[in-house]
Amino acid sequence: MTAVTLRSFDGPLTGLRDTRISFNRRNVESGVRLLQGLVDDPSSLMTLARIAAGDADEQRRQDLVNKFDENVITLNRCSGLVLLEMISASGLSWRDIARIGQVSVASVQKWRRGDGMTGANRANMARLAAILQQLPNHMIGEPSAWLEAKVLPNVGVTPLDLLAEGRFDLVLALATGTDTKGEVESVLDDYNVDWRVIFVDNDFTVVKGQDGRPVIVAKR
Amino acid sequence: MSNQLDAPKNYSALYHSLGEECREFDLRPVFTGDVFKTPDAKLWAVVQHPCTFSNGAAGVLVAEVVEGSYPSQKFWQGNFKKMFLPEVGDLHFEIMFGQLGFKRISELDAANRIVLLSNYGVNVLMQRWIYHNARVLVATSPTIHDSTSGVFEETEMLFEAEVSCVEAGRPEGEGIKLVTKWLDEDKPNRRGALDEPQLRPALRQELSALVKTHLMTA
Amino acid sequence: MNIPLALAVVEVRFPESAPLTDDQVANLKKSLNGRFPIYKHEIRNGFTSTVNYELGTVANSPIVEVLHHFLARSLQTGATLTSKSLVVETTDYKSWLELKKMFVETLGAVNDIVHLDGYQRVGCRYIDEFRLEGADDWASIISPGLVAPSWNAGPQSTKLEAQMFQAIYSTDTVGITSTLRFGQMSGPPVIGSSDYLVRTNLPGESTFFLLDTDCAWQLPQGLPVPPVSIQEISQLSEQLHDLISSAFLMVTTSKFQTSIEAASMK
Repeated sequence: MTAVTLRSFDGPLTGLRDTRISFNRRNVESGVRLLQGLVDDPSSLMTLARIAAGDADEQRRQDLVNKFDENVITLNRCSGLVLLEMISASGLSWRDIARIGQVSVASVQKWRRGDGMTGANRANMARLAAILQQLPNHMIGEPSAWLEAKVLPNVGVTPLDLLAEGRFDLVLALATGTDTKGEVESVLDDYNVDWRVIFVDNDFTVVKGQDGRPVIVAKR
Repeated sequence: MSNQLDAPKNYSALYHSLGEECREFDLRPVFTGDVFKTPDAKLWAVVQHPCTFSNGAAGVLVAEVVEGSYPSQKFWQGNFKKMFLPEVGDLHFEIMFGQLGFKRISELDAANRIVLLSNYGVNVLMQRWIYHNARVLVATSPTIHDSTSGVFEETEMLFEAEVSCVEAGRPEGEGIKLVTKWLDEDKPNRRGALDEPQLRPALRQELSALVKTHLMTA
Repeated sequence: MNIPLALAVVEVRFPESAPLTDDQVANLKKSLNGRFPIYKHEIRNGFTSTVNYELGTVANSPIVEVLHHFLARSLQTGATLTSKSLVVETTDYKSWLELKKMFVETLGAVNDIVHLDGYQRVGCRYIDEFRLEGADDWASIISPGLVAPSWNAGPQSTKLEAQMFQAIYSTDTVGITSTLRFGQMSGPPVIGSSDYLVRTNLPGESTFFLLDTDCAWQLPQGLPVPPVSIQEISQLSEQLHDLISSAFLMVTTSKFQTSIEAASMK
């Protein structure tokens, strides 16, 4: 047999649980690197290789996340309305605020009119406000503009998309530790290993038409 | 790029609002993907490309919407003559590309809007519509998104300004006129800027300030 | 005393069936309503990897699986149906008899409505998280030799932080294998709580000894797929459970086993 097709749902073990059991590295004071992944799952071999290469980056990312977590705790004390005002003042659209908060746009409309937020919703808004506050510390002068721009030219992923999936850690990593295309690609790999297939179009592109509006044309 | 039509993983991501939630957006102009229930109890979805809306079209191309069954992932990669609208409440609907019609904007304004698609939902609809009409597969991300997001943003701006004006006691339409004039003032730069995502936050802030000033002084 | 069993699972896998129609979902809800009145559906992302060993390439494609969850009101026990499997699991284990009955009756109801084409694998898995309560080490709970040793080198001493051991066994019955994974771990519990299966009194981050025993019958390659026989599947699950319970007796000390028995009689 030369080719084997594996489905991540057809694990070798019984049931629905993720078969990887991860060791919590934060609990190991000696800094010994522990292996993550299940030996009988081939895809984990790719994960192991990435972990081996990314140890120093992992620590730096962890420090950023810790600082971010502290900011969230502080902002979580604000009322929902205050948080919404802080966020909208940055220029983010209400629909993106809804997406990141994982609520409907109608819910955000109600919040704006003073309807209460649940604790979980307020925590989400606190996380978003914390990111907007933290980004200028990393030389990003216009956080909202940066959040809406593609992470790489011709790749349909923005930092907003990462936030909408709860990947605040990757957004912080992009803001601080990615000076090269390879480093950004590494963050994209973490987000979705198939980004080159799903978010890149090799056949078409968008240009300005004669009427000034976007037009889809074939790539030369 | 994938050689298959998109199969959304999370159906709620297709929608901006559903059912009663759409009442919050009564002042939002008609847009691609909106589903209306006309007085004859039929359902129609707007399938015309979003770019035609900023030209103030009097009428739009619509496709009939019928009840269907829950679409599995495989359904999305076939069934080229329709767009799925799953989990609209307890029901699942299908936009039938072969059953077309034409509706005046005034007719739709008077009808009951029951679905608004998100930008992503509009992109999936457009991908399937293009494929149905021309057997050309265009990626929703980044390509179709890049072609629709500017107009989507414009519609949101029109809505926000309209709501602010109406809530301040101004007549309907005043907010829309204000935004349209503002966008056309600096032709083509300001409208062109809508198509650049990183310029949108600044435009939103500028518009917000403009509306506040307008309500204070006019 | 904390009972260590965090999750018990019984599963049958079958050739891929067509997606459920709305009518089938409605009929399943009706049929399972007595035991599992709560229905939720979940969409889960995964991937298909095609590994070409000759060329040394891996191609990944995203795929989506729909999971139909039928849950008890406590949300601690449920049955999940996918296009290729039926899983019955519980974080509120009462007895094997009860779990097996639940599994067999649910399988019967599913087969009546969905008409499964056959069965290819039957699995039974028990996941235990042992925690030290007042004891200094694992010697009173886990059989000697199964805990990795610590040692001294002059004034330096080592302290076990984490351990993972995995063993795969065949048995005398063709197709039946056991996989044993055990070892000390630190961190959040391996079995968490979710919208689709709740674990109450969820322990926080701590040190625990994991015992994950998975026994399964897999259709041997080359043999035809047998039609669904509730009786045969039930007998297989009984054999698998026998292996699991004897593994538990082998891994734990008799002192611990006695204390578990005493606690269950209270």
